[in-house]
Amino acid sequence: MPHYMLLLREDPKVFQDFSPERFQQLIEAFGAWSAKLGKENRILAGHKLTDDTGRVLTKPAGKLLTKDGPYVETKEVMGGYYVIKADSYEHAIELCREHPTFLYNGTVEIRQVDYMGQPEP
Amino acid sequence: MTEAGEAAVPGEPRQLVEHLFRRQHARLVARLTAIFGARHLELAEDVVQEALARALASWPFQGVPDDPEAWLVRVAKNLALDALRQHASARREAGELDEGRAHELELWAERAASRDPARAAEVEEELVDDALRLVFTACHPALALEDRVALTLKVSCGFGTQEIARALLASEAAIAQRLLRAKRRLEEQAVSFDVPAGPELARRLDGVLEVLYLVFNEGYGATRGQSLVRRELVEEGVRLAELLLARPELARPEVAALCALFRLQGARLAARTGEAGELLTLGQQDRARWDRTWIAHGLSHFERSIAGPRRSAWHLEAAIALEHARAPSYAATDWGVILRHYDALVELTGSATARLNRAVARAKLHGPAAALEEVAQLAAGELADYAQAHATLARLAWSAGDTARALTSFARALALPLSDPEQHFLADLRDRCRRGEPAASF
Repeated sequence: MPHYMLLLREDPKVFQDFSPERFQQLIEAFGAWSAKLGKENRILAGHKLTDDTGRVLTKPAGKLLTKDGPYVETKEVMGGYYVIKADSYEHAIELCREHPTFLYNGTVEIRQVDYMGQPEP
Repeated sequence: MTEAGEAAVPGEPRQLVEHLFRRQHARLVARLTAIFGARHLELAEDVVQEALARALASWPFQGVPDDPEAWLVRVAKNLALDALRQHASARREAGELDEGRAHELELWAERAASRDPARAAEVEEELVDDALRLVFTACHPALALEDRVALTLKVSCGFGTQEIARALLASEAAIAQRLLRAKRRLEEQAVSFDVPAGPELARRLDGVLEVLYLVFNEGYGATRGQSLVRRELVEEGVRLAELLLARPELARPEVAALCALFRLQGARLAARTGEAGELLTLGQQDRARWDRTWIAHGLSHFERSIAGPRRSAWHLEAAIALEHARAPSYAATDWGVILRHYDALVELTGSATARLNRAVARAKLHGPAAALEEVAQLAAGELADYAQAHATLARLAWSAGDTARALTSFARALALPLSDPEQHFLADLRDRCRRGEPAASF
């Protein structure tokens, strides 16, 4: 079954005004979402990423350049990622339809892992 | 690092205790304020808010930790240390948030993480202590009453600004303003983060009880706003009042009386609305739906309240609630006893709403004519903006056969702000009155 990477982006500023009850409801919503996928053994990995913007490396003319990640100018940060199993993009979309990140205007980017004709590990 | 193939997120999510974040927010704000001092209440709030945000940012991926409270304590402690360092370097000359606090923070986190039962009891004791200090700070007489109510809901109950706005029927901007004003005032007045002692205690305690009464009443009083929010206000009022009562030095008779009032009245909460969310009067309520456990708690609080010599307004209100609680049916209510309690209440407080309620009791005993003029006077004067006064007058006039006066008063009541259920309830009565139907029983 194909593997998909879900990249989650959000604006951390929206958290500032959340009430404790809202935080709890959202965490419960995440728990319910991942439990649903977990039951079908669809989640292969899932991690939070650190709150910085990361580093982007380039090496023009043989000289390594390091700069901050691409999101430094935007409000959004990549908060974390999952790798899940799904039948197709359509199926992956279906699995993310009720993703809790949408409850606070986050985005989910879906990318299929390309095993280039080899069986998935 | 999670190994490939190992589920990073457990299949069964760990269930969070209901209101865990709300409780934990209040506890952490209280503890951090105890360490930082009352003038840094806002800093404590910011730190706790950030700790909750961190939980939301990481728990979806790592799952809910085994001990969510301990996780939040640890993160809050680290954030507090960061805040302290920043604060210390920015305002070194002020010297008020020094490294000594860092030591205190470390000690607290260590205590909180301890698995030793004796230690845990100590920590729990400390938490109650902090919670009480926070209540007394948020209810400080230096603050305007409405600011106190908002601040108490925010810091002691862990409500968000939007939830407070919904509960108090105010705009979010107005609530944010009240909270800001309250915190600035605490800072200006250099209010100490303490439960007062000695003669100061009695005065300050009254201020706390007044706020708790308003919190409870916002939930119980009018059936306005969302029913969920209302129930939570009632429960928070009870929780905080009983927190006071559990402390020997604070367990004064008037505190027990307030607890009794909350429990005895709160017992009726579920029965006050019908299946369609419509308002049910005391006479229409199904008494089987009254919460017997709450009534039992109310009775035991009431017994405690009459142990001492002091008779407060809370005592009288509790006694009235008790009278209703013990009547097997509405028809069997002892209005004579209730009237006597209202007489005493009016004498003690001179309150216009107490007079209105007394008039109702009088009408029950002696007929509508016995109450009509006093209610008319209240509705024309002190309670002119209070829909219930006009509604009461309308119903009395209708019972007395004065349909014209009843219809005028119904119109006045309906022109004032009312919740939807109240609006429906009164409009229905008015229509029946207009059709010339016999007056609804009072």
